[in-house]
Amino acid sequence: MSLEDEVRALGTQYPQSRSAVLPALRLAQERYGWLPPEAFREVAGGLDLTPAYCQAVASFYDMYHLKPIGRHLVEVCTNISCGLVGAQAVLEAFEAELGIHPGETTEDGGVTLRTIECAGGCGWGTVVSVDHRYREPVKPEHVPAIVEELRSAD
Amino acid sequence: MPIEAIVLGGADERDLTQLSEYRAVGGYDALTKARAMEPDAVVEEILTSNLRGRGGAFFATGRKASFIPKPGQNPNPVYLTVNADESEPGTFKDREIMLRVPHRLIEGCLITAHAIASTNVFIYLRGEYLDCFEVVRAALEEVHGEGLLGGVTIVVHRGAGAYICGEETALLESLEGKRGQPRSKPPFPAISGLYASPTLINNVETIATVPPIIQRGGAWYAGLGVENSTGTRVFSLSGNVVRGGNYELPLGTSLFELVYDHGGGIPEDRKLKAIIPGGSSVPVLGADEIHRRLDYDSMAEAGTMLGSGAVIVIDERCCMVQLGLRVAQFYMHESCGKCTPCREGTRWMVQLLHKLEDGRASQGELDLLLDVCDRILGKCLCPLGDAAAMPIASYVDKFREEFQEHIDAGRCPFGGESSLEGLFAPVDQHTHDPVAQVPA
Amino acid sequence: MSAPEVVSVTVDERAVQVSKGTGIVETALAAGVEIPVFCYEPRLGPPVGACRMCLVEIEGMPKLQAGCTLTAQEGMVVRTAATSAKAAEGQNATL
Repeated sequence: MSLEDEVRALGTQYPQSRSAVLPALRLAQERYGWLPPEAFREVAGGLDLTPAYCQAVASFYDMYHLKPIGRHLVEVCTNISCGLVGAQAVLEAFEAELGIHPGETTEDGGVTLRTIECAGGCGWGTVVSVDHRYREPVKPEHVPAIVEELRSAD
Repeated sequence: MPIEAIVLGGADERDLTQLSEYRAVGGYDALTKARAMEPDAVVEEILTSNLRGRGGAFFATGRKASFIPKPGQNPNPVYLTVNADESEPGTFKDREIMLRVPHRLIEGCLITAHAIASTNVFIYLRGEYLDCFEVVRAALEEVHGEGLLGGVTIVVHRGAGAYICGEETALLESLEGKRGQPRSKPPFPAISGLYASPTLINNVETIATVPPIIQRGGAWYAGLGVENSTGTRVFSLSGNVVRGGNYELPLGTSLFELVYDHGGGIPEDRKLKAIIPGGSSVPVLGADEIHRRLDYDSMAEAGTMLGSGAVIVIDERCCMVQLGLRVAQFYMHESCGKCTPCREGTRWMVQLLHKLEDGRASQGELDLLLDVCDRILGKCLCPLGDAAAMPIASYVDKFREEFQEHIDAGRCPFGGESSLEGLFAPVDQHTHDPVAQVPA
Repeated sequence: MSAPEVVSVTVDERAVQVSKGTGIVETALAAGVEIPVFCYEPRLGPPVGACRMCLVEIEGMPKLQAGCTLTAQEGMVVRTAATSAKAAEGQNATL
């Protein structure tokens, strides 16, 4: 089944098929790694929307990437609670270990590092979401092992 | 003093993610009981309990359910939407509820659906909560397998990262497949909600409280907690505290008891400086207010709110101007952009707070910050603007000398040693074209 | 065919009668009062309530309301920036 067909099937799960645009974009992003123009064409095709509309929706939400990202995603929460227990030190440990700044991807395309707003693990901070799975609590000394894990996963 | 957990009841002793375990502690008995009751009788029981919404608005749950038109009064299907978009900084109670008692949430959905004659339930789950998605989906499969759904469909709809989608009308917009920008009210969701149809929206914790209320009676629940704030609630404790975590306690419990008796107090014997009692959107309390009680009236008396139940403990190492900046950056990032005062106002607040923190602000600019807060308060399309302006105004109100010191000294008095020093915010990752700046 | 229900509203002390459900901006116009709007253009679509230029004070409602999205109800008392300091402050806030 093509992505467009899978998207069309998702649309039938809702009283109005447009509601499926969020899960459809997620599906497309899982296939492509990010959301290139083809993704918007296929999602649009499956739901009878325009690619521009789909892109407009995607651009609103933090979890959709409209530019390429690395094979792995490391997201450090730097909101209040995690901030109070040392999130900045954790972030800087990742910056040192990966050699990049938040918002950037390692040269080999392996890891994208970024900061995020409250991830919902506040009492167990600092929370780091690694490929969408939470690590909590994370201290700077845990960082080298996490990065090593990502490097050997490839 | 033994405190009986209700929402999280039984979860310490058994793995309640398993249907068989949940049934062993009486799970789904309340559903059987509810389905034998008239829908109006179920609403009546919730009204009797005086349960109030646990998302943050604290609106009487039974009353909200009573706004839904009865069958025959409206031609459209009725929808139940569960707000599982938990994103208020400091809050992680719904996460724990979904991870540990998913069946109690599902049972609550089915009982509530019966109460409003709905056969369509959507759980709008924040996209980042992958662990909750997997647990809830597995629990739903068990329920489906056991034939407990009774003709009701429950769809778990994952969000994609947007704090504003926790606002009920923005949630509906997002669920309809659009950018999550809030709608004007009226019309209210009870009349015109999802797909312009009558819709009841409730927080995860609120729905998960429904089965115990039906099982043991609304009068029983109303006897717990304090007047105007009945029952228990799950408080999320975090920040500079020894044992951060979720604690289910009766409403009316003091902040002192939560922070010191349950939370173990502040690590390394540091001094308490401030407490955020209900998530980042509520006004801050000073250290001398630690004996205040966590209930609606006590918090209102203190000039703040129960909010999402997220209690954030702040010790003496934290610069309150830096805290203000980080909080303002959050709201600037999450502002949907639809209405002028919030879109522009949150941006102005960040710029002014940057100047204040760097010691580059003039005296007039501290007043200007408060003026910007005034221009937002009460004038926006949705509560996000207020949620940004109120806490910032409270930091200035309670810690004015600290703000003044930044101005007088021309730098942050913490000299780089504040616990929030250099904290990098997501809003700084996005590159912007030059926009209007507060003059240098 | 029955006639639409008519309601009595006052805008800045001026009494006016409009069909129930008429927008407050139109109601005010019927009373000879102009509420400034920016993002609202009825020829383009329904009111959005985004710019907040049309904020007015409604007696009995604690918060200022957008005149473009609010609809006329029987006995509503509307005050614009002309007669309400709160409404004037609200409007100035957006500018």
